Amino acid sequence: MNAARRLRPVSGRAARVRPTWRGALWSPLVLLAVLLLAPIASTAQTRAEVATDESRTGGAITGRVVGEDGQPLANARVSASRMGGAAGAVAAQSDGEGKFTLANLTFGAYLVNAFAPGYMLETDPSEHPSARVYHHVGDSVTLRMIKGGVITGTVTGAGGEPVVGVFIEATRVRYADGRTVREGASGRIWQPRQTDDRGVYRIYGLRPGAYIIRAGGRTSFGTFTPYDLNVPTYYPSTTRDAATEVAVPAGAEMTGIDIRYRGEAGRAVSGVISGALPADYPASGTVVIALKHVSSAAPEQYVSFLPGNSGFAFDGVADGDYDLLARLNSSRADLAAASPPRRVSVRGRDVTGITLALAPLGSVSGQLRFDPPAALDDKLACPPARAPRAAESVISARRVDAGHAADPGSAFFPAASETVPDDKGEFHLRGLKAGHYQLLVRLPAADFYVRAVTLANAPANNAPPAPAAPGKTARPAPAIGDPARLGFTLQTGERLSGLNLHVAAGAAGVRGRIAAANGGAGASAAGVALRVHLVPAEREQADNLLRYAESRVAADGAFAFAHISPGRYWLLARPAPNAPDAPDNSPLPLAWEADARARLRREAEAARAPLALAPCQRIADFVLPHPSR
Amino acid sequence: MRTLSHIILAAAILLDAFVIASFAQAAPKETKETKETATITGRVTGGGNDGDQPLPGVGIILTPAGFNRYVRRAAARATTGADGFYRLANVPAGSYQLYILAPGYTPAGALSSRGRGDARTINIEAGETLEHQDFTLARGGVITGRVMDADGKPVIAETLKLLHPGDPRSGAGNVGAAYRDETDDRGVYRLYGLPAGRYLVCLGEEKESGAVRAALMGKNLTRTCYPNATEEAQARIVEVSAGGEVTGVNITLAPPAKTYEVSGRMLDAETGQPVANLSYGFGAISPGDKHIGNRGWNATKTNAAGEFRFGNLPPGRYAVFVVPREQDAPNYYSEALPFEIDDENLNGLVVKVRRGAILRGIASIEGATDRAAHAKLAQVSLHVHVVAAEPRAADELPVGNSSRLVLQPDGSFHVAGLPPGKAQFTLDGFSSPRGFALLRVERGAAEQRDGIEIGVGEQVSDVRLRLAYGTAVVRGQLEVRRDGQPSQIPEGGQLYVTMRRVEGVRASWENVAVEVDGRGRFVLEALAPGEYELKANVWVRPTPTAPLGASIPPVRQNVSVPEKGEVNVTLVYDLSAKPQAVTP
Repeated sequence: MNAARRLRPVSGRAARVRPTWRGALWSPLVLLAVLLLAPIASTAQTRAEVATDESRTGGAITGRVVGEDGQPLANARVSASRMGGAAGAVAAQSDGEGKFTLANLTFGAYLVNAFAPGYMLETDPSEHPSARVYHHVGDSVTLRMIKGGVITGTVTGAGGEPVVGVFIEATRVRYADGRTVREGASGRIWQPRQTDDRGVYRIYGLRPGAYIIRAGGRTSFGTFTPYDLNVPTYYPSTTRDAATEVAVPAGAEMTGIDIRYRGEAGRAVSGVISGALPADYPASGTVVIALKHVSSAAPEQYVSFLPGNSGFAFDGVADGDYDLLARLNSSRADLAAASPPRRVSVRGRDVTGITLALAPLGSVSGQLRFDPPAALDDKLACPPARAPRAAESVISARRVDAGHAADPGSAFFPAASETVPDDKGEFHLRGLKAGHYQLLVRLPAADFYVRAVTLANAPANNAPPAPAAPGKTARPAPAIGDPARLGFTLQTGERLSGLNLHVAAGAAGVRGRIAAANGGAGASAAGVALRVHLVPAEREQADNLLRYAESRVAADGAFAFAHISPGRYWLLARPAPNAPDAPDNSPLPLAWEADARARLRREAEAARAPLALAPCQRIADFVLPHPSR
Repeated sequence: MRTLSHIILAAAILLDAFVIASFAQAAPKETKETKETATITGRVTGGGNDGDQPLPGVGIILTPAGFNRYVRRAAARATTGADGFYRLANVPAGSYQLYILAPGYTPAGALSSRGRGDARTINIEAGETLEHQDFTLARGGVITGRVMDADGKPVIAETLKLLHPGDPRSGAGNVGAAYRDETDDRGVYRLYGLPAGRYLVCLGEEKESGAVRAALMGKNLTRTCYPNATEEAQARIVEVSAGGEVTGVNITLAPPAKTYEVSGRMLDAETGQPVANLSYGFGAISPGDKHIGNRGWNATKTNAAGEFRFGNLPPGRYAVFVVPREQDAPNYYSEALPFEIDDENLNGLVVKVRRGAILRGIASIEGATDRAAHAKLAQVSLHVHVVAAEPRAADELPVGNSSRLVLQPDGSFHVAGLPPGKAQFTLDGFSSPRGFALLRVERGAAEQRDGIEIGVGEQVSDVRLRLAYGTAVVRGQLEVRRDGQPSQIPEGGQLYVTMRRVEGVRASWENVAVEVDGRGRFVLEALAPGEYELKANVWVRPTPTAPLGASIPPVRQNVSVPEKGEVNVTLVYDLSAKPQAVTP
């Protein structure tokens, strides 16, 4: 990897110029690991240590690990990573009954993951980023693991000879249900394998879905190989556009996926970064440049721009059209920057002299405030078991404007920018491009709901938020969307502050299902994806977007709403606005648009499915008629 | 502490694909083939029965020598033709490493291989043509088999360890294998590109050094060598020939050691009150040893009741202690509390923690005219380590933690949680930007040669760390002689030159070492000004009779280095002394 490690001891002790643990700790590998994770990690950087004097005991998250058959899975490694906490996770191992205890956890929002070789969690966090589940001290969790699929085959050259030591990568292009993978990096299997001396490769641990397989090209693994200046060859022996997809059913082994390696020379794409870099760069961050084929969801190559480099360069690039984007990842809010995406065409020769100009990114800061206990109704049926802590919440911003999908730069950004408030409830969402955002607040327990959103020192703006025009970011007025609607608009590099989220206890909730369409099975049997809307019945709440909510309808017709303000509502089932294969995480909530909101209320009133929710009330079995009836 | 690095590296490896790509190469400079550039040519042979067939299609790669933390790019690349010849043209003057990329092959005569073959240092000047940079390769051997656990389930995604039988360091003497050295989802492995030789094929953690890592990672694999041996004496030796294949090398792992849980509380030694939010670590104590060897910690801290907890520990001797891990951690330190796990969980340990000392001060660069130096100051990696002032009681274990100083852009720092004793500072040359050295440590205006004396809970606020910065280059020529006549180093020998400051604060990490090239040239770059000792040393590659290699007594010479510019040095290495086998 580096020269220092190749040095051998000259004699006894003299020249052990070996990296010590300190060296390793800050080795570029680790440094870059941290920096590249910055899209997630840096936004969640806020320190949220519980003060010593009030921390009382934290506690444990317990649970079970089970396999597909529901049988306990022993010896799985389970980890809990605290959002916004110091790096590192608390880990435990499942016992003979699949049980585990993650003990000694401080209060916070945790992501719980399980690892067992060849297995993976059944819920794919990359598939629905907004559906991530956070756990809290005291939770009991069942983690279901499924066996991964396998793709195996042989790579041979033009003369049938084995191609030895070439890296193979699989990229998932379709989910198991046939939908196209569109979200950023979620399709990439970050686990390249190499062929052995017979040219044989074997990739395991694959989620069900369809994959394209590539051999060679500039490895996403930094090791030099004889093949890294070549254009990748895609299965069976072709370019990316013509690649044959390999469908992998759950847990299946797909054999004979043989690749005839073409070994064609690739081109270089190179350039420089402009825009002010901080004086202490790269201590304060790293510029990462990504190259993405226009037709793929995830960048094919990343490089970093660092002092001493004369610029950046990608090798082994096949002819085609690409988007390039540079991003400065930093833990410091004032440094976050990105370049607009730049389209380049590679046609039989190197492309040089590209300049990517960094422009600052925006941020939003504010405070999450729990209503003081005195304000709670003494007779609350569900007094919180313990005082909630702001640091157990997760706040994220999701870009929802119409320009988002058309913006090639979106593929380089995480689906949502996340953060955890500190113990005072203060939060900062960073690294936001210009656009219209939806604010999502994950609260510590089902007992809480967002009662109000206010913007300090800003005049109330009751106009409905106008969606950003596609492709245009410059707009005449600083159009901060009405924060009461859990949305905001940012201009390039804008820093919005003073956004206060008021949280109350006594939240209500409702679960139910859609009655089958023609007496037949569930909602999807009608062939139309449905969505259930919660609409306020009280006239004075008609424009309070905190009283509106949407729920996806599962294949069996189930829907659920939680963290709901007590009050009177109507429930309304409507066809989902999405195209069938679109990921269910981009559309603006219907109620955000004034006309649609008015229409929703009219339809909801006419549908006659009223619902009155008292504080703390949880309705478990609401049956809603199918809209086709 | 190595444990931590293993864990971090292991974590990083999970991210490999994402990560490593980013230190990919920068734009290769376009240089016309003129007198301003150099050319390197050579031939790659081997593989045949007589070992002298030309090898076509072998990749040749030239990378800048010297360790740059960020830039890893090829300066030139070539592929051998049908006749085995290659030519690297347009090479700018400089110091390089020359590699071959020939998966499945191994350098002829090698005892071990990590896939790159052997790297060769080359210092080349403009207008030069360097010929006969030849390599002889042998076909690598193959060892393949399957690893199952004691219950007959495949052992998945675990790394095989190849050891040389009889290697006294067998634990550390991991031969490694080129390319795939991991079991797949069926437990199957296939190690290829191996140098011909006799091997022990093993998997699992070593007893002592591996325990801490295993516990932290929740892994519990008993080191087992083919076929099912937990002791080397029972292991069967696997002999592989050049180009040969040994199949069916199946390993049945020994049952995992039973592991136990350890818990206790951290109490303030003065008040008896529990202390929350303390980071803690633990380490293994080798038998008969007075030191904590491998150590590690995870993200957990003591809770409000001051409780700590470790799981997954196999029987053995360990110690638990406070780790001063973060800038804003509570200002406490502790002694190491030894404990022994026999055959049950251990609860109720009490670690007495004490208020730590705090050091405040500023690091500054002496006389540097280069403005770039000041911009890099905050990136300099400095550490403080406190050596106990008084001799310890016989049963007392030194914790041996050190804390990193986080420098502000103006060079100021503060570090808390220090025990009493002598605070000694070191500059970590590996992680710092190049060109820095630690000259002096002062308190007030007085130099503190042996470190700064700190009392229990003392607050010291006038520490000054004087750094030097420079960009000087030492360019050397080494002449090898025997009995006064020009000579050659022994077959399989490699010549190194190391450079160490003779003044200033001693720190081994500041040492710089480079390999001397085939023409006796060496170049040491990015040196801070000062007096240095140059030391040339021959290290002879391992042979079956000297598995750690051999060395020849070094020669030394002092050299004075300015802030910038070049110094030329000639060193004479007399080989009259005999090589001596390196002992562990």
